[in-house]
Amino acid sequence: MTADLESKVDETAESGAAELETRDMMLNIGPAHPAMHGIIRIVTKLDGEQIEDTDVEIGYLHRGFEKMAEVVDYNGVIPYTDRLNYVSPLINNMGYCMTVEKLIGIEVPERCHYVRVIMSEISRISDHLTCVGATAMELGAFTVFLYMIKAREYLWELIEKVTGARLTISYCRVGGVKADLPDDFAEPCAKAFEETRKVISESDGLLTRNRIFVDRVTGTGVISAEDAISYGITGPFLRSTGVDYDVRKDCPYAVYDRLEFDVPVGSQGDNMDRYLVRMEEMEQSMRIVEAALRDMPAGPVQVNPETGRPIPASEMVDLAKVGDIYSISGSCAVTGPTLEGSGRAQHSSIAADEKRTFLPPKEDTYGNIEGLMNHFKLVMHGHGVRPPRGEVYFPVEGANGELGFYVVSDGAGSAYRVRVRPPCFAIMSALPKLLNGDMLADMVPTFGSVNMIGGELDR
Amino acid sequence: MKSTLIELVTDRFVAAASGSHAYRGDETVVLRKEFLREVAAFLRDDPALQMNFLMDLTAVDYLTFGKSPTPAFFASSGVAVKPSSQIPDEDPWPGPPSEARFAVMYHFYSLQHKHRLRLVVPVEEADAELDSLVSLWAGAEWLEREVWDMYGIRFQGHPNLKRILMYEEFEGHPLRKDYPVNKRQPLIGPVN
Amino acid sequence: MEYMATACSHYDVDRFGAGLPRFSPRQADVLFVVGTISHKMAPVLERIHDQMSEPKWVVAFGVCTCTGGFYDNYATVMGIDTILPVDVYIPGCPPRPEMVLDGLMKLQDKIQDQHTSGRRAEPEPRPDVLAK
Repeated sequence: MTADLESKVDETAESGAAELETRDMMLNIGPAHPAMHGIIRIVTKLDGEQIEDTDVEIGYLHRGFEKMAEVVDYNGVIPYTDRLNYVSPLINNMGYCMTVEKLIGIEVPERCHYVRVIMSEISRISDHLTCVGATAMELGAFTVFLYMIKAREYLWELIEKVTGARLTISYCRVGGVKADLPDDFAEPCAKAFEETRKVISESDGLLTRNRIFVDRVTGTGVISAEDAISYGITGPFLRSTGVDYDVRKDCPYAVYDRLEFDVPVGSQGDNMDRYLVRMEEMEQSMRIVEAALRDMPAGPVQVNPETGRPIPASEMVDLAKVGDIYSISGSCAVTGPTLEGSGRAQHSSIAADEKRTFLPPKEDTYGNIEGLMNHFKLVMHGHGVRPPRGEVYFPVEGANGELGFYVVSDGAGSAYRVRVRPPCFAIMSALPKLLNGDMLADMVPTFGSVNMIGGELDR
Repeated sequence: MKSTLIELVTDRFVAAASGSHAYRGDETVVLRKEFLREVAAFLRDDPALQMNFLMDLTAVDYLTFGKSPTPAFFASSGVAVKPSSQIPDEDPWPGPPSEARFAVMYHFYSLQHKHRLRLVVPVEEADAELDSLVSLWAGAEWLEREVWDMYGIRFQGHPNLKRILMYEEFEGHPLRKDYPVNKRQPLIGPVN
Repeated sequence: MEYMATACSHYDVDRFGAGLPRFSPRQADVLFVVGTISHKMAPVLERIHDQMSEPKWVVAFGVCTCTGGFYDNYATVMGIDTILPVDVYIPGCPPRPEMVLDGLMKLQDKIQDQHTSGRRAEPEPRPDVLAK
């Protein structure tokens, strides 16, 4: 009886299958993404759950960075660079400033290099925390996201201590940085890193051997090394495929050639490798910062309180405005926390000795006429930083890969052409290759590990 | 003083290169546009060069080069900040590559040899068309689309040359020097 | 970015009742427009706003949505109030999480004073500084 029934079922199944028609479905994953990845549009052609073909449409956050850079002067581009890769803005700042410094041909002091390296690496850690956290959240691990953002808050408090802002910091200037590290930087830094290490090990315990996480990210979003190179992909994405290319090691800049750190390299080229590479890179970044804090040349000696009479900054400004400069000529201004570190004492260590690009210390600006004229000439429209005519390209290692700035100057006060080579542009152009063949649900971890930052992709 | 990298290219393609320099250490070769694909394939495949990365592809519009409008205020003061005479400019930049309005820049990098090269291809405004390098580097697809979108330079052989950062209804090419900064073409809403 | 920071444990917008971002406009009451809106994105934004059902409120988060910020160029919408009616403006680039919470509380006060018919309360009388 059951045998008859079974054979009947089989018959209907076969004839049914022969008559069933299948068609591909077009699914638009529209610009308003529920995920926190910014705005992008992916039109997928699906065969059931399998992605057959993808078309990626970007440009929803295009804000005309390159056009604005031609309108404002060289130092004015720095706030625009903050908002490129807005999760790791210090790296963008540094890249742009080093490009213009290469164009002018000036060399910043060693301590300034160390400060820039320290801040870049802290920025890189916060970028990786955001990326891994957001990916984990989309896969359902909401707790990991909350932990990582908690660690990121510690780092942002640290950044706020140094630069005055949490996210859009505009810290570097052409020829130096805005201000030196505060005197008590080492201790909060150590504490923030302790918290970050705790969070990383907690998240590692929650995710790396978690059956659900491993099943979802292993084997998805695979790309081979040759394809990655052909698309121009760099950074953790390329390193996960096995290619050992890191701008910090291969074309070292600032003081990276003196600092010892490892570059994690994956092998499979899938999402799991990218996750592991990013987790390990965070640890290496912390190692770089700790080494840099040890090796950094000492800060300047503070102004002698007996000979240099400290007065409040507002008083100094008022006296200077009424013309009473002789009474303030020997004094040092007691400035608030965010202006601390830009006094005459610190100036030699954070700024290139370059009158044509960097603002003079505040004592000079308010204290003597040469400093005032210097300040005026750098700030007024039509004067200011004027590099010689030329073109340069300078790459730094951004959180997503090689972030290159190409600046063309025609001798005027604003740049003639500024081009930023966005690392995630190359990765996004490879997105069809990554997604085709995988299931629709695999799009989530793949897109998360791409770490698409809209500000950088669309500029 | 020419470096060996530039010499490798210029010696092999004598007719193609119309100039070269190494301003601030960036080796650059100015190329005639007919030879672009040949030279690019040579750069990628030759074992001494092995430029496997096409890092960047961008364009520059030289329409107002050196003719920036000086601001009215204090412009007549006559005191301009010049490059310091204490820093000798031994190897000054030769200037825009040619009289052509546009120039397309290709930045290459080699993983094995760790060297970089820049190719500059001048493009006339009337004949703004170049060979596409999509067959050699897959990453060129989106980069060339962006150059088309922003400058209006076409690429022959490109599979899908349409706008990438701006919307299709946008008219004009925004990064050209004659496109005003705040000329808006809104799809919805007021113009200003 | 700052919305993410506000929503997480340190600043915690959940204690103000705004903890769950809904992924569909049909289920949402408040539309937070975060980040610069380009002209390419503007029709999409208008469509999302239309899809929301009444009563609905719009919060402009960040100075680029309030007025366009410093991106005065061909690509940016100079303030989303040119295309949508906005209830609360939270300036800042990016606004600190405390500002976001303050803006949310202002929105809550505004909704509280709103009549059920949708009639809004009279705006606070501005101090007449010129009358001195």
